[in-house]
Amino acid sequence: MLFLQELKKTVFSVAYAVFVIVTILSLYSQGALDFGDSRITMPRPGENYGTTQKEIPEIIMPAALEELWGEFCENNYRTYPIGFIKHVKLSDREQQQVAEILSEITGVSKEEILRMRQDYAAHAGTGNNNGANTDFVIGGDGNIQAGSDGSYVISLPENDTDNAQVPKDVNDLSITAAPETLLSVRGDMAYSRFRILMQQVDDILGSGSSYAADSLIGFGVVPLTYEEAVQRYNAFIDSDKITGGYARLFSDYAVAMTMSILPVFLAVLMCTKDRRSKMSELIYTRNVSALKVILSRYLAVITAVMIPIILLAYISNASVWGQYSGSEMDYLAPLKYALGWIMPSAMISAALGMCLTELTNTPIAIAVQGFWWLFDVNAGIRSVASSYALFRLAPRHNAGAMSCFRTQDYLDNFRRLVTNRLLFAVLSILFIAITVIIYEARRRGSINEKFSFKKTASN
Amino acid sequence: MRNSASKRQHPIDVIDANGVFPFWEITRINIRHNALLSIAVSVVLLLLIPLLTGTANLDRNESAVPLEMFASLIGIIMLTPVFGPEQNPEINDLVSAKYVSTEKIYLVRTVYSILILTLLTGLFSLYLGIRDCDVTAGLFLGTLSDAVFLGALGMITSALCNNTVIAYMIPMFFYALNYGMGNRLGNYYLFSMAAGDFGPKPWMFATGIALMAASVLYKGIQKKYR
Amino acid sequence: MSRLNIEIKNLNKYYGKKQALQNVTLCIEQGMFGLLGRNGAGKTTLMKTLATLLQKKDGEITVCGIPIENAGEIRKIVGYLPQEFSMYPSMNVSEAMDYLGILSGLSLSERRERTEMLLKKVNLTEHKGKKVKALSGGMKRRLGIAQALLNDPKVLIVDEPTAGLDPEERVRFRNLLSETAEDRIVILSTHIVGDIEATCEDIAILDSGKVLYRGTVDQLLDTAQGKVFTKAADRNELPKLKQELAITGMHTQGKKVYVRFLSEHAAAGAEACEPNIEDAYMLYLLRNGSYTPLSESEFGSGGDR
Repeated sequence: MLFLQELKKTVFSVAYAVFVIVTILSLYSQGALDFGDSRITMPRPGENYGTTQKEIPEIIMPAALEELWGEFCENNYRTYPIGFIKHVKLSDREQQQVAEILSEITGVSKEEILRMRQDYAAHAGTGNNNGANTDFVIGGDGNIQAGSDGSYVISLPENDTDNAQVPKDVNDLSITAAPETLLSVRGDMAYSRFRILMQQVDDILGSGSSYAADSLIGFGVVPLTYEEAVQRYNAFIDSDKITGGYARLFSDYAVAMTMSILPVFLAVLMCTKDRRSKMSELIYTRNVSALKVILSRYLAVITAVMIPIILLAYISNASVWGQYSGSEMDYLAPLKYALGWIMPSAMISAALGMCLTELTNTPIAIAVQGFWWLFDVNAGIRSVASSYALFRLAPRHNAGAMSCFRTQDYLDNFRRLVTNRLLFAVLSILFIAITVIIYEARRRGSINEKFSFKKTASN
Repeated sequence: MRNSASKRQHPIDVIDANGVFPFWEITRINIRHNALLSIAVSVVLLLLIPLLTGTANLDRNESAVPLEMFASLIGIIMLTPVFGPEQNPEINDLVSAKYVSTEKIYLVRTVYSILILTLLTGLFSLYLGIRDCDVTAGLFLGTLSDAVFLGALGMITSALCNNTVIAYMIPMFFYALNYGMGNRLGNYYLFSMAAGDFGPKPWMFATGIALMAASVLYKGIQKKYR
Repeated sequence: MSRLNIEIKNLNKYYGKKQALQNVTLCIEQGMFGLLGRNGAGKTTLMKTLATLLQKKDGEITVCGIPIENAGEIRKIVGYLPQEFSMYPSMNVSEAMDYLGILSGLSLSERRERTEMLLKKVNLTEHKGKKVKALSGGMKRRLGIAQALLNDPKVLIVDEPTAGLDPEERVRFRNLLSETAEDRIVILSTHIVGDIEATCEDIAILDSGKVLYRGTVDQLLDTAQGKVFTKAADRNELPKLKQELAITGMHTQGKKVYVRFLSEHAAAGAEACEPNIEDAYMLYLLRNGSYTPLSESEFGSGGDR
């Protein structure tokens, strides 16, 4: 059977050995193969349950205003369009627009706002000049330079709570850098209107700021209550059956670190291998349909990459089984998550690899998939919603050590995840269909090349 | 007579039959036929960086991000395929039988790839500078070191596996590892400049050059044992 | 150095434990020299060793007086056309010639001059703008010869030059080789007996890394004289005959089958006939104990007769 031949060819290759080793090393280095030390326990009253973000206007509005005022004074706005800090400096006209918005929020006239800003500039001695940025932003980019150990966390996206720290840090700084804010939100400010105004600021900034309507919640950091903590725990036990949470965490790592990028190498290799060993000419002339050749090869690559990842998913998941002995657990969770969450990423990566290799005869697919992966992985998580976004190559769930715990986020976004995964599966099939067509066209074209028949003719 | 003559001339000498090594001609032809795609992909990557991360008004540590985290990737793109063209055994047989040794061709490719790398990194640094980023010569050289190191990982893998596609995997894996491992990678931490640490860069540069030398040397030795 | 000859003494070559060449001793003079042998006999190994692509284990080789260890000097006087010829995919014919000319150590003016002359000689001048990979099999071979002649070599080594060519191309290619052999050594390897017959006077038969025969074509035919027979038999006897006889050819007519076979002694009911090179070649294989009976499907192929 052609499929078995292709599978053999894939599995017994140096590239596959490298794939397996790299996969294990990547996941191991992320601690994704052993979750033994992240046991979840039933919350007890009086504990600290961490924080959560809530849409509480009374908390959000002043915090957002304070941040905006600080950035307005500096004319140095921080946005994170793809997870990395991007400093935005507005033109005078745009600054006027922000001043108008500030005016509406605070009830202070625009002229007064502009005057206060000038005072600030005189006070700080920096004004519009860029030199101010240097002093101002230190530490403000918590998003990129995370720990004191110098490691980056972008690929391992920030905690929801971490995320909330970014504006918090900035607030601290803006307070020290800017004069005491004399502004406060107008008493009769409706939250719905506030959201619209803030979204306008985000539009002026070119999006990606913490003022965007769906990011505003980041300003609403509140401690989790006992009841909420219990609810969270129960979801973990009842809905996730414990193992689901850990399987989700594993899937997040596996998809981001290896499965959305490495399959492209195997796919490219399987296609170039043919050409290298002059097999393509032979296969071209054989009486096997293009569909069968390409599909067998594709399925072989997918099978070959999925087998180790399923095994690793179980190794990872089993690392916590002992800690919950006696509880009801879903032992199929790793398999379900591997097939549902991880596989579509592997599928699109391999399909793109085969398609572009057949089309161009170059390893350009590696660059294309590499860029896509680089963008996607660096996008991190701006919000829970964005980690399940429609075109997310690698859906993310990891936000801190206890993210196996975030069952509700997962349930809330389940439909989005399913849509995303289905989309990639369908796209993969589309790419494979295109590959078949290209392959068939090449085969037809090669009939004129007598040279192709060399081997068969001379023996 | 034969024995006395056998060691007369070293098999790898530096000049051609006319006494001049045609470095520029070999460079010109190789760039045209073997490097254009890599150069194009590198340029595309550099053009994409402004979409990925801020490239204006950055202080010194922030400026390190577009440079060492992204621009350095062009090292993989430019250097990994140095051995690629002759990995087709037919082409290899053809050119290996020629007077100019293939190792010299590899050296030429390595040299011009590093030069192009330097040029592109320089231009990108300049671009950052124009956009009011605090780019220094140190940042530029550090980025180059990262690129050379990543590219050298690709070259050594390519030399060992005789396969360029596999060779792209190793430096990319190492790159990804840097996200997770952080400065636990010590002197091989790619993103140290964003934390103001330039210490690892000379190490990386030196190791990179050593790996490149080793991979070209290995190619030569491999031939001796065929 | 001016003498046109290649001397090979007690050459051995291993791939891991497998011995590819065993004590090969050959002396090759100016003119066409044919290396005959089946696939895997060691022809390519021997040729690659002469082209300095492979290292010998032991033994001695000198090419026009230059020891093979002196790879740089050897490459100056040797031209090599590998079994399969391909070039960097984006290069066209004249670019390929130019680049390979640089690699051969030619100056710009030499390159121009020789490229033009050689492309004319191999009839590719009008195709010089074509991509190498778009050339037909015959054109590729001709380009292969042209590039191998760039450095005006004293020795031209051509591995399986006619494989994959159609009969017309094959004839033209042989003639081209014969022309170039006028003032140099041309070594060609083949498993197609017809090539040897048409072009070479001197040949060697290689099998399992050993030289089974070294001499002229005529001498080879002489040794097979009186060892080749034909016999008519019933068709259903064929399987039995295949077991008993060293068959080199056969054809069927109705229920009858005429087999051509080798035998050291006259056989009953068989007629002696005039040997051809193929018979003689098979005889050497038979004597070496490496003759394997052909399966039915293999008849009818094996070159042009």
